[in-house]
Amino acid sequence: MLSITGASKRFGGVHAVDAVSFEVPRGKIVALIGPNGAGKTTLFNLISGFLRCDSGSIVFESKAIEGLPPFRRASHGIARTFQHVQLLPQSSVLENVMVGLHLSGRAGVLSSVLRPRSQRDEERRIEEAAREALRRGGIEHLADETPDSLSYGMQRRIEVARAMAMNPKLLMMDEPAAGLNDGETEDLGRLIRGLRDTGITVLIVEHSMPLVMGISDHVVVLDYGRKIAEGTVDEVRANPKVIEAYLGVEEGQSDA
Amino acid sequence: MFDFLIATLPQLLVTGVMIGSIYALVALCYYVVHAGTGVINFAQGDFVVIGLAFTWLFHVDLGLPVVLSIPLTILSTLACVAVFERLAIRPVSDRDPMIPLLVTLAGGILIRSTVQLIWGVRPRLVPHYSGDDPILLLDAAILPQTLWIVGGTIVILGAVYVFFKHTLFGLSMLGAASDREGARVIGVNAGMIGLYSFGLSAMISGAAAGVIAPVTNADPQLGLEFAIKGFAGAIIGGIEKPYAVVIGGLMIGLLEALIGGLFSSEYRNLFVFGALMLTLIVRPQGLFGERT
Amino acid sequence: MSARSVLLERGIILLLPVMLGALVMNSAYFLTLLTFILINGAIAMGTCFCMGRAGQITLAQSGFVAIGAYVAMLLTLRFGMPAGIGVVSAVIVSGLVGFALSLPIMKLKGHYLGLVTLAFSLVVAEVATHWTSVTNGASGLYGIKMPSIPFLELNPRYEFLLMLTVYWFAVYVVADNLIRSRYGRAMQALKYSEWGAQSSGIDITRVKTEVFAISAAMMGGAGAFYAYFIQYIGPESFTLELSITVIAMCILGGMTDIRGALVGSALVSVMNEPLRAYPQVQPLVYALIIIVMIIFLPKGIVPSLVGTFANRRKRRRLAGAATDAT
Repeated sequence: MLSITGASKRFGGVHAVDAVSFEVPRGKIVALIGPNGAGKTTLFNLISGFLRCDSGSIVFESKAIEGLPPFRRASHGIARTFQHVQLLPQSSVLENVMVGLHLSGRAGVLSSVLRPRSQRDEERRIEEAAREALRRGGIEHLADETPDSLSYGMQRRIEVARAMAMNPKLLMMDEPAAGLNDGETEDLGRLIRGLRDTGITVLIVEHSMPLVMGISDHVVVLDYGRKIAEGTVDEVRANPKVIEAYLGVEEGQSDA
Repeated sequence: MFDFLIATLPQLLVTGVMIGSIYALVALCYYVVHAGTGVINFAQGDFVVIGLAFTWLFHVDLGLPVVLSIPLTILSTLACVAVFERLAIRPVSDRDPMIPLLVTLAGGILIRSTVQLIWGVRPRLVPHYSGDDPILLLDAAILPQTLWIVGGTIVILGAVYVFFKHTLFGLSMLGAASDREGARVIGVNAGMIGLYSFGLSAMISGAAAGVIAPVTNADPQLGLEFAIKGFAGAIIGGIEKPYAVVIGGLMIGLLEALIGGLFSSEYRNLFVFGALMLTLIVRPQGLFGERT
Repeated sequence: MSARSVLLERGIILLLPVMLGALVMNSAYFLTLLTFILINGAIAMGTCFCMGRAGQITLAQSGFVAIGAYVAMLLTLRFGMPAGIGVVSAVIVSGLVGFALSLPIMKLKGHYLGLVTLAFSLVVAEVATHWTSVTNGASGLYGIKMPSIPFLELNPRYEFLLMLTVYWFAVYVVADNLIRSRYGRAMQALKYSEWGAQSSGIDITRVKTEVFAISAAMMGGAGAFYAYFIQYIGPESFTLELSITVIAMCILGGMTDIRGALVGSALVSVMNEPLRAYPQVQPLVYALIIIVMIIFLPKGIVPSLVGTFANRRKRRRLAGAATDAT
């Protein structure tokens, strides 16, 4: 469904991402891992459009998207969550999820001012769809709360609900387990597996090994901007290059 | 027009360098505060006005000799600015950078109005330090005070340079400037960096005021003009580099003098503000800055 | 908010100036004060719309108000156009200039955007001062009559107030409708997270440009009314202080709520009155308001009040639910 071929990005003299290629098959959970500074986040930003590739191509559902700005990639069916939750702190959770439904509406400046019947119907539909997204996420009781009064784990779930409201084909999650405790991470794992079971493809960047090892169908390992390994969880875990890249870091990780 | 240009060029250059020195110093202050705190300090021009007021107080009103009035001015300006920074800037320093900018804009107005309230609106005259007989050099009449200004600027720039490169304090400030997060990690006191940055800019402003007072007189209305022109110099030069802001300030001064002399003083400001706007839009990092 | 309470709130807002104006109809002084409250209110609403709701910092108020004022004044003075044309043209021209200005600056962040708008205001003031062939420079323009409503024969200042109320109310409805819609959510997303907005499919460059243009148009219209009211405009009417005064109004009333603009403009205009005798003190007071509010009540009056009431309602709801459970 998603093919990255030869993606490269340089900052000054440093190759943050160096000719990385891999595929994300439809309906699978793919994890992008690697030690700190490996270029995972840069690659993630290249795929979601917040950075432009210096070279290489990104093809999503047979369409080349490497030249598109992020908002256009969203309209092709790619949703994204962020390492630092990007919510509207002063708006209700419901309104936050309604933002995710932006693309299902068409009302522009004129319609929003004049409020013809079509605009009012559209608003109603968007609100309904948002409530449905909250229900599916199991958080409809939070509809009227504001995110700044909720726990970080809850805010993550709201962001996921917003992304899911877009009915995406591909959900990209940037370090979704960051800041979560073990119990919350397990819940997250279950949530992501549930999403995959409804047919959504998931691509995650993650540091948390328990989460990655527990849910991934396929793992891609980066180090110093290059892909050094790829395969199932077991294949990657046994790969000597991967172990070497993580040497020393892995000890610390298992203590965490 | 060409003959006119050649005939008046030396004079225009002298004027330009003099005005440019003033703007260069104000621009340097913008660099210092921005480097330490990330804030654009629009009260900068009014810090100079505080210095002008104190210069008048010490040198004219109290009759102290220049060698005493200038250091006293520096210290008094520092004291006032320190109070301002602690009361108005520090409480909002951790917010989005636009907030402190608004606070400094408002603060500048506050300072200006207070000075005007205490003093009235009209400028107070400060006599030239070395008399006002111009020195003739190469078709240009140079006022002795101009030499004070240019000389003072060189001394101040030199002092700041030594401070930044050769004192531990200055080096750590410079380090904190290029990496504010990192500085916090290694223990540079984040709470104090604002005070130090504003304080240094206050001392530069006070010293600048000390030498320019006879030319501008103690005029409370100058605050905004200095603030904007100095800011223009800092942005056009490139606010991330100390030498760039100084060159920028000089350029603004020269530009003003040349436009004023060759066309009409009417269009001076228009050119400066227009150049500022253009730079912000087209090349916000300035002439010497690097694109981030 | 339910549709009925929106209608009620809007009805009250519309009637307020109409009724208050009728009450003070015999006093030129109070009518003038009310007029200034509405003019300032429109500029403040444009500011809250752009800054508070979409997060786009602007100090361009004096620039766009000036453009609107000069356009209207020139059309009526030099071409004999009626005030209606003047106001509409002011709105359109200001909006177009706002649009044109926003195009190259959309990539700028945070305070750089604010700085360009500041430079813009300065440039406009300079052009007004020096383009003497058109603007008559520092002498300013004057010589028009205050417009009046054709068939009514009321106090002329009150008639003007009524026309201004229509504009002011229109600005309010436009702003409020946009805010409480899909467009408004896009604006909020733009303010709090450009990346989050983009990944939800929002074209943030387009929204930024449109918001800036709309707020410019609102301010331009207010400038036109200013010109028609004072019947004299000069560059000194449109200094940076105007921008700062309006920002003070928004900070006081609350940047994030469009009603904050109404409250702030009313409060500051009223506060201004006793200070009129001491013009030196005026800027001092605005500056103090900005600084004190930013430090102690950064949300402003209206959002703070709304927040307090919302919290009280929430606590009562939770307490009610708790007692139901026992």
